[in-house]
Amino acid sequence: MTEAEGAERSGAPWITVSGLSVSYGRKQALRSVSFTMGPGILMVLGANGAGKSTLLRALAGLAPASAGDVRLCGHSSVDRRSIRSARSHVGYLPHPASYPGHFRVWESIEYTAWLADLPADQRSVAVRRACEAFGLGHLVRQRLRSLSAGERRRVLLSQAMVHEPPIMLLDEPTSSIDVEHRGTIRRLLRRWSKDHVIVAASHQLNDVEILADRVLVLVRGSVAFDGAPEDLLERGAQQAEAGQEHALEAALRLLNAEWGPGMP
Amino acid sequence: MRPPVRLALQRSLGKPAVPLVIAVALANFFLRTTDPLHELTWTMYDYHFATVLLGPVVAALACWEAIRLAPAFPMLEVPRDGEHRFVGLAWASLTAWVIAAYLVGLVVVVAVAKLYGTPRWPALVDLVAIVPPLGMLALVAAIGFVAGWRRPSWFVVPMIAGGTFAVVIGAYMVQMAFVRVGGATASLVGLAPRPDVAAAQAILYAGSTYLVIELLSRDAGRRPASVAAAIVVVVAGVFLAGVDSTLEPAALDLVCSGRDPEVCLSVEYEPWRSQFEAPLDRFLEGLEHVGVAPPARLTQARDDLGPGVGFIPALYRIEDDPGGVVTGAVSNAFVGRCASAARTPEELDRVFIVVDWVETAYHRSVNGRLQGPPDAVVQAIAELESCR
Repeated sequence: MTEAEGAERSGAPWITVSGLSVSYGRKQALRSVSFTMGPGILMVLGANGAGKSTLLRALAGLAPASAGDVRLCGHSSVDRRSIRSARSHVGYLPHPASYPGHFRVWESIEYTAWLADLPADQRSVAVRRACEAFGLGHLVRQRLRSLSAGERRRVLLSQAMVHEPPIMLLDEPTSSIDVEHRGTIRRLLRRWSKDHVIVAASHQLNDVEILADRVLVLVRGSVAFDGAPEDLLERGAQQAEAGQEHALEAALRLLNAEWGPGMP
Repeated sequence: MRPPVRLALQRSLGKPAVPLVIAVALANFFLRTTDPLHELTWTMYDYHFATVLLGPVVAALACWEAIRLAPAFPMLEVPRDGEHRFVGLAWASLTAWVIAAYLVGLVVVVAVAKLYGTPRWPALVDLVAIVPPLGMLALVAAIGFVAGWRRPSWFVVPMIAGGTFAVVIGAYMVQMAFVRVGGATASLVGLAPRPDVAAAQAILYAGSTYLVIELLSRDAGRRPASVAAAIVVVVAGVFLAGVDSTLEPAALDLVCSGRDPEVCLSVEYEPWRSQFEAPLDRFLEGLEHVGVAPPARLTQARDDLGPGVGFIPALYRIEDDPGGVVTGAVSNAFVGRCASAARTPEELDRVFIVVDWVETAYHRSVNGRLQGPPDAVVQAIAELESCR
């Protein structure tokens, strides 16, 4: 039984964030963020600079916390002694991200599978599965530099998830991806969310409506909203002016105004 | 976890660079002015001087490779030791190709030497001496990688190449023994690379390479114990390798013939015997005519020198300068080890007096106007007795 399965059976949250603060010099990027999460999709929304990417990096133990704690499947990603154990449960897709263009699609995913400590005899199967999942089967021999931006993004996604980690931290997972493949990826994320935790930062408001089990809205590093997407939509719907504005946009605008400069 | 070695080798910039590395190494060897092909140790040792040119080339290649790979960095932050393993594998792949190319060049040089007629095959000590240049190439590859990885800008490539060249040539010029992995402008007959120095150099380069790669990541210094151990290894390597000479006298496969003097030549120089003995015989006849006794033995063995025994230097120059070679050998028989071990200015003066007279005597014997040695020379030879 894996630790993730253990956590699931025990009912303990897979991600526990308590009082997390992150500072870059004098700038406070995250302010006392707290939440817990089990299997499902948590969408992190917010304007540019709100702290979405910093939150994902802090979850992965890449942004040093100035206060608070993050536990992934019971391992702290803040404590240097346990950071490796915590990271071993994580698949991380940064944004922006790229990979050396002279690698072929298959090779880049195989390389990542090795770095994720997949045994050599399991790599081919894992890479094939990842390629099929993201519709890359016909591109495996292509060099990355010959792919479109959307195709490259799908390769990066498959790299982040080739080892099927219990926790996936995805920064803008569907950016640059065409409508057809966006649908494929959404279906895949939906399916995985049954037994994985997916934390995704996104500007794609459609993703929120279709994918999210839960939404976290960050404004200036603070949690301005934490709840079901329906609640956020309802809040925005009251403000949206007769179909002139998307309900989510209206909700975010409202939250930004409420939590703007001078607010906690 | 077994790394994808084949894949890494396939994608390495080292693979397409193999012809370049071979070409640079061979050009450096064959376009130099010395012609050591008849002497295998000299041939192989001189080939290793290619590191002076190859060092910058390899550093630039590694830097270029690191710049190509640098976009992957954000994807390497989460996996366990992702950055180290990714860069380490890429560095190892590039270094493996460079080493393979270097060895191919060496095989070509040895093959040409065999075609040229050298009777020997590489000895174990010749093979041991290959390790330090390979270690140096591995180190400069690591330095190039670090530079390109930390500063992924194309401006860094020529800078690292130029910097590497300056450091290597500078180290050669100030005679830092641990950086001298090859290169000789004169015969090495009777000498062999020192295995202890080669081992110390190898330790030094391995430790330095580990340190460079360990200090590579932006999260450097995570293994203080192994870094400290590597520093100790590097310092020990500098200390152990920092001796005066990377070569030592070695037993020769000699062929000796004749009496007064007996002439002992390495098997590699046996084809030159008649060219050496013809002017020598004429000169010795002249010396005998004016009452100077001939040396007991002239030899290419450096570990067999004593009173009346003269070391034959630079026999490879016999066609161009027979007088120089013959007078060198006869002078050495008269002055013994004093030529290199003179302890006082007075001893050195006596050496010069003898050598000058022998050179003058040679030319006069050729012209038939040789006269007996002046008293000053006779006295100088007698006074040098302690040194011989």
